[in-house]
Amino acid sequence: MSSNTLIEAKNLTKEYIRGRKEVVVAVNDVDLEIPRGKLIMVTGPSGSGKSTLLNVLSGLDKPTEGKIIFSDEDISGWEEERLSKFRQENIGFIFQNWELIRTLTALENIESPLYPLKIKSKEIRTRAISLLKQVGLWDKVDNYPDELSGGEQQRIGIARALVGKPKIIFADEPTGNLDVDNAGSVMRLLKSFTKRDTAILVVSHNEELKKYSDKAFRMSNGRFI
Amino acid sequence: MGQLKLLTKSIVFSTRSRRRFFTFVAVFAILSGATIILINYFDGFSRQELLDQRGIVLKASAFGTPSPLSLFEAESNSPVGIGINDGQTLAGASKVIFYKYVDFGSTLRIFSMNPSYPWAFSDLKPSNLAKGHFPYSTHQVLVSEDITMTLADAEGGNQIYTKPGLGTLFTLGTAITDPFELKISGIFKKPAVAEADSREWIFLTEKAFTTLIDESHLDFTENEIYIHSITVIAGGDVFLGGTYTEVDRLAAELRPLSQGGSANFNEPLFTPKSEKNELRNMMFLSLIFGLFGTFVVSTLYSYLITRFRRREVAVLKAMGYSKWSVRIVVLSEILVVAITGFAFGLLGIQAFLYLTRSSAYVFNIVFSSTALLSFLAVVLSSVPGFILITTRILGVRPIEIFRQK
Ligand SMILES: Nc1ncnc2c1ncn2[C@@H]1O[C@H](COP(=O)(O)OP(=O)(O)OP(=O)(O)O)[C@@H](O)[C@H]1O
Ligand SMILES: [Mg+2]
Repeated sequence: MSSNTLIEAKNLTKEYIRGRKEVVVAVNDVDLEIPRGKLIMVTGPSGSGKSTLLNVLSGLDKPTEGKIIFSDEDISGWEEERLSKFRQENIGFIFQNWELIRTLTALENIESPLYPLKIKSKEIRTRAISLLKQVGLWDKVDNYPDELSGGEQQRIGIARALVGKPKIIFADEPTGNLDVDNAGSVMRLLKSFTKRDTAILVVSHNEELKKYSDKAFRMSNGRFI
Repeated sequence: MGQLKLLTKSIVFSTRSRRRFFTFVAVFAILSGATIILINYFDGFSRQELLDQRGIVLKASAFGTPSPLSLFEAESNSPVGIGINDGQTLAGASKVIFYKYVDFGSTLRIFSMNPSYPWAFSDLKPSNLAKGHFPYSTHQVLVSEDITMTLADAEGGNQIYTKPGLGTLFTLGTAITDPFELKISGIFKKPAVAEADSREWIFLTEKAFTTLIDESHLDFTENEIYIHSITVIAGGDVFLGGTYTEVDRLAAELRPLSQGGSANFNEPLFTPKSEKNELRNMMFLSLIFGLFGTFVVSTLYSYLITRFRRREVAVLKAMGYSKWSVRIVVLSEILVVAITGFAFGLLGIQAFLYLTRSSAYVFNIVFSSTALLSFLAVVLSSVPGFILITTRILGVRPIEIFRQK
């Protein structure tokens, strides 16, 4: 494990039981290293196991076998509350459907991950405003999600993922619901944040997006090919 | 600090979704309104019944005869040496209430009643109330049905009311230094004893009664303030049973007051034991049903709120909110909705009572024990539901929720 590696997955396997007995191997013996400050992509057809891989790596789901080593610690066996705290400190998420909270303004959505933390409201606001400016939506500060376009919502989603200063951001189909122009600008925006040593893992069926990544893997039937 | 910040933020945010907020406030208002009515009924009922079970009434034996029992005599001349004083607590009793009266001029007999225990006055059960409610403030008065009084009106002139209705205002004539205005809050059916009495009966709160005596030019002495009855309320707990022993013991202790040729009091009146047990069981059952009802509705309501916010909960958990942080988010909405809904429910019921003047028991419900009891019932019965529901939703992992589109 090189000193620049942030996450290392070894022999990662995730099986699901479908129906009564049928075993689906969604992720099959995958090895992966994610370095700091790089944008890594995993592409592949529908059902190839991309989302499963991302969920397992981020601690949202448990692997059936294998290790996930994050800063010298294997997080694969951790229990829920410990993983929550771990995610809070190290991980940001970007979702395909943005998943912004509809009753919060753009600015409050960005702030929301920090509310339970021992950080002063003023400090939270300063950070959120700075991010809002970086994603180019300063003029939409008081808008609610319903008053924003899809591209704008996703940029708020990106700012929200970044506000906790995570070491890595996981993004499952971040451009899945966007047109080509918006998809491009979202990817460029994501790429721009790698300059601050934030690693980003993007999972998508869209091969076109590879050009924005530092490294891309292709998945098929639960394996890298 | 973090959790407090989260709580205040969540409280502010929980009112943002207007439609959901008002829908749930309305649901909660109806729920708590129903609970308030129920509890008001049982509270009033139980206070009357409880009092029946706990109260021992000593009626002055000379009442209505030419030599009524005066306050002075009652307090100093108890024949068997049991000194009972107004407001004093007898060993084993939780309260001793004196129902006093003065003869005011030649036509009026004015009684004092304890506003918290109006029906401990033996001739004044709620069933004797024809209209309105018992007085609870110093400016309210209860009058007997078909009363005919010559009363000074607001301008100082005399006016005759053959049948004054609810809400009629009057002042008590020229015999008072600083006449105060009274409003008829209730009308009662005259008991048989009162029929025989030529004077008109009116009832004031204890406080108004004292003021009246102090302000009167008639300079009442302790010998001119008479006792209608004394109600001794036994201590102990009705549900746990201690009361019944106390009632029997106190009754035995008070009985000598009614014996002998010159006895001041009639035989003590109290509810026989078999009836007590039946009543107790009935009250206990209705309490259980009431609490169960609010539990069911409030659990349903927690369930709906968490259902509405399922996806949001999943996002928060993915972002790293701890179970407690998520609980705080959901709890704050439930809290805000519950308190707002309860306030609306309470005001709604108050408006209803005011417009219809229909409750004999509690009229000013906003500041009553009923409101407090209902609030506790609604809040306490929603706690288990809330814990049940949030624990269930918190147990679901975020990816499982995300997967359901
Ligand atoms: N909870 C589950 N229970 C059973 N099988 C599952 C479950 N989740 C995923 N699978 C199966 O695992 C395989 C991989 O699914 P996954 O969602 O990871 O694919 P994906 O590459 O993200 O596909 P898409 O591009 O459509 O999002 C699929 O065959 C899927 O049916
Ligand atoms: Mg997927």
